[in-house]
Amino acid sequence: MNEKKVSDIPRCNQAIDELKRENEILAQQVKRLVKAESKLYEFQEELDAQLKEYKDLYQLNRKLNARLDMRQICRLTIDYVIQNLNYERALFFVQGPTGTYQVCSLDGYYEEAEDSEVAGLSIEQDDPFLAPLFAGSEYLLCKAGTETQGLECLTTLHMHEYFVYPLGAHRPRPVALLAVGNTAANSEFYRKVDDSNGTLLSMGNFVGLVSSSIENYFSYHQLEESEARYRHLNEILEQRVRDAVKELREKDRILIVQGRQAVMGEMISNIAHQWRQPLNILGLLAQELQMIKQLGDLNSEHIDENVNKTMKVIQQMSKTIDDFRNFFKPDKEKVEFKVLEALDKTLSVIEERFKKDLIQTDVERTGDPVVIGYPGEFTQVLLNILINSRDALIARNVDSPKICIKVFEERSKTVVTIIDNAGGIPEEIIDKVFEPYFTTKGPEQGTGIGLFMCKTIIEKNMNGTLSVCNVKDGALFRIEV
Amino acid sequence: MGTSVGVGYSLSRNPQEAGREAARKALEQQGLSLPDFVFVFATVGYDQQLLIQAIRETTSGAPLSGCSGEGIITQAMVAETNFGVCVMVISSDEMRFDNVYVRDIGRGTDFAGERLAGEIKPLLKADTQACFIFADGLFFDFDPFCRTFETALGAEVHLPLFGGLAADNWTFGRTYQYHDDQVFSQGISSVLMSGPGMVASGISHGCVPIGTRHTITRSKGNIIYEIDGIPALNALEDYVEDGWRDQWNKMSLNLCLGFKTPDTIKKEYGEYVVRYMIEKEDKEGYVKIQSDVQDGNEFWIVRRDKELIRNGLQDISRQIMAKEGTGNPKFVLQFECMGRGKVVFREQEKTELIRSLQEQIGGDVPWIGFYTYGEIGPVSGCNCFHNFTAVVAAIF
Repeated sequence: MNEKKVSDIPRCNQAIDELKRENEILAQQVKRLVKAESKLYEFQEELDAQLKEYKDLYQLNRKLNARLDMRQICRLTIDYVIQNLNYERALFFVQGPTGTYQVCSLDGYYEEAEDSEVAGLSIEQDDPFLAPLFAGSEYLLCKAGTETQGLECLTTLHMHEYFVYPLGAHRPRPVALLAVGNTAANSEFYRKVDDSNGTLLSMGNFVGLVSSSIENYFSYHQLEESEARYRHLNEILEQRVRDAVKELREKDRILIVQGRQAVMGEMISNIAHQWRQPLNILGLLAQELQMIKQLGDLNSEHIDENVNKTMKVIQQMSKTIDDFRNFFKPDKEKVEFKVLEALDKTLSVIEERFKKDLIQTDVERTGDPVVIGYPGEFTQVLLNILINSRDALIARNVDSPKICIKVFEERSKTVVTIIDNAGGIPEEIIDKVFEPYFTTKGPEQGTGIGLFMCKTIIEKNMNGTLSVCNVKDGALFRIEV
Repeated sequence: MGTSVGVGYSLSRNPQEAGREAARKALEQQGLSLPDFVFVFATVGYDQQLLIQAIRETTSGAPLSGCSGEGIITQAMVAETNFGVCVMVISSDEMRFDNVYVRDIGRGTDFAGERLAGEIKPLLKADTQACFIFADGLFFDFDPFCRTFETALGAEVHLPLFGGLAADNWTFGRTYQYHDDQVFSQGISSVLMSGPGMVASGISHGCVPIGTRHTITRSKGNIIYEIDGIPALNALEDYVEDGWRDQWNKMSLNLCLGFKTPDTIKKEYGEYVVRYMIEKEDKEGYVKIQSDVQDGNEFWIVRRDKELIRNGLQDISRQIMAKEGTGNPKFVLQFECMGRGKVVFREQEKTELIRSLQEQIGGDVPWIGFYTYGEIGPVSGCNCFHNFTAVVAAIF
């Protein structure tokens, strides 16, 4: 038994050694495990901080994109520096019209006295402090405990460690500056200002975002200014067009008035002609009364007969006046009217004159067409064309002057043609007869607006057409309404 | 009237604005203007005096107690940041809050325990429910404090202690305690709560031992000089990466020490009590924890286990409900170890975890807390100190 125990001792010792080795291996494994877990927690905390930062940047980006106001961009930027990047103080400078950078917004904890001092802070653009930035440096960095080189303005920043970043494109200087940092007294509770990769990456991402936002702001406002200029030009152009149209309409109106006045002169001549015969009759009646009285045959019967005749003549003269007055009455609105009635009215006005000039007028009527338009203006057109024809017939001393008027319907339109035998219009000018102030009659007789007025009335006021062409012995004017 | 409680918080960087905003929100929540008592927890980025002054002005000078933490907690809001403050205002005609304080605990926490007991004793009543302790986490050794405190109060008095050790966001320079207008360090701010009702609490750590056993071979009080016969730092350096001496604050979080739990509380608490090494000394190679040890004590390196932490938080709500049923608490105070915050959990995980605990206890219950350098809460009737735990005190 004892022999067996003694022989087991080496085996036991071997087992104990093995257990010790295993124990040692296990202890080492545990130590490695603890180290690994420490590292894991460390990485996890870093990862969490990074994720939070990217999430915060995303939120900031959304907010910045929703705002295109420089003050709001300032506010969001410095708020982010304090709340998310966890620096003690932040100053946002914006370049003024003179080039000086002035504090637009500030955040963080300042004591009251510092607050007002910092709020009024400005940095001249040629301050040597900023020179490295304008020479291409991405940022200015002052770490805690390092010497600053003659930067008086920084003592006013009330930061003992800081970053200064340019914001936005250089035009030629950056449009804004961002200063972030801490005081020495409180820096241990804030994010450190250092040039570690993590810090620079974090600041770089943030500053890049804000710079883009500032560029968007400027682009938006440039676009807005361009749009405003374009709108302004457009308005000016539209106003000019409106003025031109108005001016043209006014000219048209004046031309029409002038045309009417010209026709009116013609009419007065016609009235004079028409009144000549009744005036003769009235003269004869007066002489007759005197003669009967001298003969001593004057009685009430003679007087009554004379008065009746006189009154009839006067009534006829009065009717002539009414006819002319109605002829020139201006049309206020479009109405339906019969073309033949307008033609008869026109002819009644000029027939006596035409008889005197030995001009024969033939009228061919087919149906009794009705059109919508201005009857007064329409008769004025007919009158103008007829007078033009008469003038041509007289001027060319035509042997058997004749005007043929046809009224008919063609393809749902009412057509009036006026054909004379005055020899036609010379081909070189036929295209110009409807132009304003074009006349072949010379300054004494013609105004050059009669046919222009006719075309305006038919085509603009009544949506019809007025054209002219030469036929066998003369000219043909064609009205389609 | 009963008890009205409102909670507000602010993350503003300006101490005056933050103090006013948090206090105003708390008052507005219950329509209060003159509260009977105010709890304040804040982080250390602020000028603490300006912060407390603003809160005092806004709360009409109501009695105030609290301390600085590594982060703040309210319903649905957890912020581990240098700039955060939360305020709880209480108005009650049934509960009473008496606040006291002691300073200079650096002279010895045993001395501090005795002095605090001296302040508290005249205020103790038959209906006193609990005492809240907010002590400087950089100068606190629980065991001598508790021993002298309980001795000075007398054996006939059993006063449950709840609270957390003030923190300073890993700077390990200076924590703050608040008492009315006073802001101080190296002190204890304390609140005695009396009146009808009761305090139900839950405590959970969520750490597991790994590796082989270690033995403390030389120590004094809360200082461990040697482990396994070699200087303590040398014994621990194999567990950490190079450069650990410069990053001790966070490195030491991953080197928690697990000691066997005393039999008296083992059943309720579990196998191990966990300790955080708050301080090291490079020259002598020692480490310091926040309770006492003795030569021959054995310990294991423990690691925080996320799954256990999650399950542990559910246990807390079960513990509280088991004590008080399903009714809603009047308010809740939570003392959460800074080692269970962002250093171990992702931000969203952490928020969801605490939110889930809050919903189990009461999603609309006034809730305030902070991330600590150490937690205090009774286990099996004994006042105990904890690291890496969540201590939740629900006041019914």
